[in-house]
Amino acid sequence: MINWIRWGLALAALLAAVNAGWQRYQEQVAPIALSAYAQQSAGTQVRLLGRVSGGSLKAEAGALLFVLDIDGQKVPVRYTGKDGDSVRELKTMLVGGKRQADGSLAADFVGINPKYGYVAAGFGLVLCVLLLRTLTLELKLRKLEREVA
Amino acid sequence: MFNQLFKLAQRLAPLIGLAAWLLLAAGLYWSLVKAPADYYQGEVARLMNLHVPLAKTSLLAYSVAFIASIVYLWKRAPLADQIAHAAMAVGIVFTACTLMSGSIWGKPTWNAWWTWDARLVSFAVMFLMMAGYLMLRTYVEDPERQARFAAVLALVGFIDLPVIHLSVRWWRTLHQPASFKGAGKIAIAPEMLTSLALMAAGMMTLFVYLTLLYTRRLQLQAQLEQKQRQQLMEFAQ
Amino acid sequence: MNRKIGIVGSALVVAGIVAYLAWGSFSDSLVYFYTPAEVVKLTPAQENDRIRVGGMVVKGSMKVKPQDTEIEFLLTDGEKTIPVRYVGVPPDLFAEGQGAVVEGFWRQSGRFEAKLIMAKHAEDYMPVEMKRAGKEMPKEDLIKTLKQ
Repeated sequence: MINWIRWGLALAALLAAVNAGWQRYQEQVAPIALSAYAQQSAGTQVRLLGRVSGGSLKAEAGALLFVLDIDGQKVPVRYTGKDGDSVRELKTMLVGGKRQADGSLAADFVGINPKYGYVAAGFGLVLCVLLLRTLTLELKLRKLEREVA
Repeated sequence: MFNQLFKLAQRLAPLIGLAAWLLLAAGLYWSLVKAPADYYQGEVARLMNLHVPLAKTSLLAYSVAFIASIVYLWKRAPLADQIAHAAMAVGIVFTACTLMSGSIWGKPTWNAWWTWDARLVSFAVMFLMMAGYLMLRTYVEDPERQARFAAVLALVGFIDLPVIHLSVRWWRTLHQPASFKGAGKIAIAPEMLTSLALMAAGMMTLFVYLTLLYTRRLQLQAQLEQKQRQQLMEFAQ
Repeated sequence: MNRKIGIVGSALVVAGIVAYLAWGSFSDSLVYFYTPAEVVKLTPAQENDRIRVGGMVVKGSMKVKPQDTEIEFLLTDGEKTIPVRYVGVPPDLFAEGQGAVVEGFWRQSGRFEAKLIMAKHAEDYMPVEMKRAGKEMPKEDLIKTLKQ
């Protein structure tokens, strides 16, 4: 009985943390697909993930112009934030901003490719290994206690 | 005195286990949600909250085994040998997880799953030491000799720990220098330290819990073997 | 018999590891990468050895040729600076002013042909807002750590 409560509590807490992490990822990190982008009305805040096309980077007064290459499709971007230094040609980047009527993006955010899959894989793998080790050791111990008694 | 304390800890083990997993759940929440992304590495820097606590716990595990081995060689107390054995058996899981999480962090940041630099190699040597220790214990049957050999091996292998610690100072490495520089100098922003502390507390508590369980397991196995030997003796008579 | 082989085997493994560690800590032959100052001293005979060179990517030195995804940049250790050429897409964390370890061949023409670029990031961590506000964490000087 006590063991069911212990495991229930621990697993519920872990699942709650995973769920909160997933929510945050969806709200603050995940990019939208290009097909979904095309359907957005002008002025919606979106994030896109793509590669800065070679030869497309140009500096303008107070803005950085480049073309984002998403699976061969091109999206022109005008970035007016403070992190322009991190933008480099051929680099895959996460770009956030408002979609314009002509399909271009007025960006106020640029960031490195989040590669969140590595974060999920790392935490997932390690925590599963440790959970399994905990479980197998507890079961083994229970079996031994029974044998000795 | 220590024996009684240890027995008490073993009785409290279920609570310690629960505390460990609740701390880890809180650590996971802080690592994924509350901690900000890093200015340079972005989201993948969250893996630091996993990798660093695992590495510290692995070093703690070997240190516990080292101290217990000294105590065993000095006092010949079976409990000391059992604790050393348990710390190694549990520690190797944390060490494997450290290598695994480092690899998963290394690919998106360094662009390499593995590289032969001094930090990675010296840490992998600790893994081999633990594996060698556990292998040795299965090869030697006589319990007294097994404990003695294993303890000596644990002592010899301990020289690898300062090497791990100093590897990033002694040699050129791809691995970055330590973020905790001693004397209160830390190269990690305060907003990112809570998640790290929670995960470290969770990992170390889990190590304590699993080591308590594993020690109990070794004690029960010893009891069982003794019982079987007695039965055999009675049968022979 | 099996047990004896096991014991001897484990002992050999341990002895090997200990010897390796002892050798490693007392000799400087355990070099993971060369610095640019060391690379320029290599002989023509070493042209076909795949080696690693570590250094800092010189600010403003990176040139991208987008047609064939080729990049060129300068790598420095504060003493000597060498040009590096690489065909392919460099890792995300590869940037000017940051550390990099490149693997490839040193050509006597005075250029390094990189086959692999690895980014050597520093040990400091902070949120973007702090970086923008001009804050710095106490981290080690990259150039100094290269030469140890």
